[in-house]
Amino acid sequence: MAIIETQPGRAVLRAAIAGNPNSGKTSLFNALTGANLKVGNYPGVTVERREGRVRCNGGDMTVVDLPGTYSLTAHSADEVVARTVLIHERPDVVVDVVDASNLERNLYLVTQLMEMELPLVIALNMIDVARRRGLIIDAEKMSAILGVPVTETIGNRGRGITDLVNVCRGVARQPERVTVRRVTYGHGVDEEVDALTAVVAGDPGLAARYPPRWVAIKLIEKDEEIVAAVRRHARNAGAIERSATESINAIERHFDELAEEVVAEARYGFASGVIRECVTHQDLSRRRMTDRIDAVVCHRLLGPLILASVVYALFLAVFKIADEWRWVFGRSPTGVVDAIFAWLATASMGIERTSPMVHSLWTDGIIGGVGGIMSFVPLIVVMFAFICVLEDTGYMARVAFVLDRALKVFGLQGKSIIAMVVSGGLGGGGCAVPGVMATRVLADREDRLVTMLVAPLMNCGAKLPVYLMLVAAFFPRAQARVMFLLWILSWALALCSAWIIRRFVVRGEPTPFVMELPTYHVPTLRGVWRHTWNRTWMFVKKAGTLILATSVLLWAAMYFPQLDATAHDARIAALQTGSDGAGSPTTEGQAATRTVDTSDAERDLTRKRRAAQLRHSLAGRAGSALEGASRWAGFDWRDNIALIGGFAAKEVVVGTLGVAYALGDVDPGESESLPDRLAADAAWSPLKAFAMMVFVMIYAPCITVQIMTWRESGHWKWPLFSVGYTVGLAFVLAVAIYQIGMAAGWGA
Amino acid sequence: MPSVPGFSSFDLVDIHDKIARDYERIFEQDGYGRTDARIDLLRAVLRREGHFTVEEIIGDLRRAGRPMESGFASETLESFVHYGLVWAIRTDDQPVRYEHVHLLRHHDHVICVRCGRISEIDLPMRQWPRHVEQTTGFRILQGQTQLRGLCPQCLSGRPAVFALSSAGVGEELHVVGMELEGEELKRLTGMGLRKGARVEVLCVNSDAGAIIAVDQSRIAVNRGVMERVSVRAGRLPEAAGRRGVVPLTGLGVGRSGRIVRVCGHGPTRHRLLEMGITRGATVFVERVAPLGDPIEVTVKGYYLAIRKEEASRILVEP
Repeated sequence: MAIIETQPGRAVLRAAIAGNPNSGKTSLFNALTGANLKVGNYPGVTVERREGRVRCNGGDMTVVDLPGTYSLTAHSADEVVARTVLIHERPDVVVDVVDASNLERNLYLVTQLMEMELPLVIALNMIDVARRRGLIIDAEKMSAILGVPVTETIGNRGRGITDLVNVCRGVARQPERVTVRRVTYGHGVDEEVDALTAVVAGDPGLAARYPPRWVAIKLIEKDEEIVAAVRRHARNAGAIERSATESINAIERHFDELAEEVVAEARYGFASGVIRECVTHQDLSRRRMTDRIDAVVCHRLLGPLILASVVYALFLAVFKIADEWRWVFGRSPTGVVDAIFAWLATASMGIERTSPMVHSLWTDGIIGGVGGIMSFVPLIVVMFAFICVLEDTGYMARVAFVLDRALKVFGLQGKSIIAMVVSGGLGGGGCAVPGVMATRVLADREDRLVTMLVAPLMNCGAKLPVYLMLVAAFFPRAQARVMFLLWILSWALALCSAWIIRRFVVRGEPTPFVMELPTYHVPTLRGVWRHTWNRTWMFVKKAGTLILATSVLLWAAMYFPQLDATAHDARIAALQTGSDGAGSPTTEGQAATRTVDTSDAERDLTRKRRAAQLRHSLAGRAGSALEGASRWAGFDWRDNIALIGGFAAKEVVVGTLGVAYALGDVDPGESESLPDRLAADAAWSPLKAFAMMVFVMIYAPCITVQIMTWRESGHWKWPLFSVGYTVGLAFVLAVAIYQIGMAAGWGA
Repeated sequence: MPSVPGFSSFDLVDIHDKIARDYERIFEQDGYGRTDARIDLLRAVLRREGHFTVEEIIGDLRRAGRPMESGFASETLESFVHYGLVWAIRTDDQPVRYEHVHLLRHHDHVICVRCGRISEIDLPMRQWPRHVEQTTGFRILQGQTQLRGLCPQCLSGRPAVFALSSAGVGEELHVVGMELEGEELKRLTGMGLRKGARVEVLCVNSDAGAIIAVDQSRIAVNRGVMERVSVRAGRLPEAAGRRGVVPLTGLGVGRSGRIVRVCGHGPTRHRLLEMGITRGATVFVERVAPLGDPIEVTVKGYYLAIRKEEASRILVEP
């Protein structure tokens, strides 16, 4: 994590936004920063650091969006991240986004921020929801009781933002104007906190780093991180620890309860005191609409039925809108993108004569690789938009609620579903990179690891191109059905793998499942658009960088080394006698005779030369070397090249197949599309296509996911394990499908 | 021995730390040296479930990076037996086996005369022989059971309310009155010894005093204190009932209750507390998920999904 340097007298103020999950923190952050998002990371499940800039007259302000947490203990990665930023970066102002309609629980975090003696501002968010529910909150009184400025906001509609910015600026410029009140814990605790505070404050090594009272409270709560910090920094750690133990013993004796619980209860006591003072209920009937929806959505029979229908409807809608309905200039959105890249390819035909290598790089490497991916952007946009709607409405939490029992059987928990869905669990269009990051919502290490290892089995947006291409080529009349089958298969495999991994590799007790079920909201167009745009942009960026680089690399691997004339002729001879059919089998014997003056023979010769060239290249050699094994699954050396490319990113598979098969053609500009090309190829059959799709579904998460898995799990052995087991499983299954299919006579 | 309503087995695991602290105090009071090493051994003992020998526990300590010589370990384990912390199971030709005493959970053993393997039994005595054969697979050849108790003479010579000093080891009592004052009263009250408290005598140190269990902690009391604490045998009637306390899972959809206690330990419990599951809060059961788990409850004005496993640790008063 980057830590911003503290400079005295700097012009740019720094704010941090803290808050409970579901408090509308992200939408408030978006409303604050507008389009000035500096580091766009994966939103929805706010897991990574996001930083934006607020431009206003009188100086800019950078805003860090902290992960949503219920507390600031050291129990989960999110909380530790949030705490680290607050303690070590010392922002000029901390905005705590508080859900006004759910004040009591939200105030728990407020008390903890107050304990840290930070320059705090409270944004009383979703004030409209609270009002509709009959809650009248006296913000001024609350501000007086807490000693913290309180402003009302409606984040998703962008109301109250100007006020908030002004208050923040005021606090940041003159922090001395805010005097945060002390949280009181009641008799028996306050005395111990005071005594311990005095001891901590007396230690110069500690007092300079942390607010002494906060350290005292954390010591009483037996916070492991702070105990470690005391050992590291305190001059007299022994004495401090002894007094802490004394205080803990005194409290535990007095209350006959663990000290950390006494403190937690006292915080809630403080919170309910604030509520009593500042909130008047007009109408006690609670979220009626949500109750009514939940009665249906979480119903014993209707619930699972609705869930299944939502997923299936999602499929149909996504494919219809992005790929089938011709509603943009008489084409489908995907068709438009395809047309653009086809035009780019034909427009560059002129270069071929002057510089064949550049032309090959451009058409086969760049357009073939990146263009193939870009045509799936419309699909991904629509898919992301739908997932955003599900997340923003609050339905996703119900999905976890309905499915938890089923997932528990496999050693996962309801919240794993979020990571799985983000990874593409709703049937494609996700990405395992944010999916792996979303595992941070799981507090338990074992749960996180297992989810992280199986989430890449979901059908992410990168696998979609492979499926769509093969489905279009080989199952034109059963597209939705085959896709549905693949979706079911991916879940079955992920769950079984989870069970096995949980059983034999990552053992440990399953962790508590305690999850808030937020009130339903009507998502705003703005919110959905922003989330969708951010996610799509991440995808496009990945296509523009990683995939471009891999495409070029792969192109190079297929282009070099070039054949010289003698080697070429020898190669042709070898091809003629060879048993495997890489080239066309029709015109043997004429290949070496260059004098035959029919255009057919000429074209055929060129095709053979290209095939020979590809086989001679680095990639061709690697693909051929693997053919011995891959033949069992029906994959020849060209398929192997594509699959090797897929190690970098699955999107590359289609592009590479395109290059591998297009290189065998005379003229890429005039050739038919890849699906047609494959459908016409004798080596391909629906059976092989299905084996290929299954293999692509399972094998090796892409490089980015592997790097994320390494970072999130903290050890390089986990990405290695991930690659190992998925490749093994993919190969076994693909071979099984192909061999059984062949035996059953479906290979025709 | 039936478990006490309101205390699940989670609590028993939960209190290891507490036991260690209790005994640290007791060791220091009784003037033992090397308290730290003794506490290390104590913690190792607590971590072990089931029977172990001196050698096995030394092995545990070595693996934990705290080696200990066997003489000291044996001596300390014997002192633990004396303090009522562990039981010793002695057979003729096998090394002594120990097991830590769970407060309020008594059980008996059956021991193989050849290999020394031990199984636990938890059943009324007269059904023993047949049942033991069924449950352990042993064939019972002979048996010898030793029971300890109070004879009619001793019982008849004792009034219904008597001084703690005349209680026997293993006796379960509750405190009726305390004629203590000043610092001493404050100290003992602080440790949970109060009117109405449930007390069990764990061991008697001849004339010096005794170690007693009060609720879930163990404290050392001297003879003088014992003389002035009056007790009555058995549990307090209303304490035994804690009438109507049920786990949250037993509440039923559409009903509400007040939280009396959150059992369990560690992160689970912490998480529940953070989410507002605190003592005294009111919970309302909204619905059960389609597959029967988790359940949805309202607490502090918001909605929470919680697995039955966790919900069963939350005790509520309907």
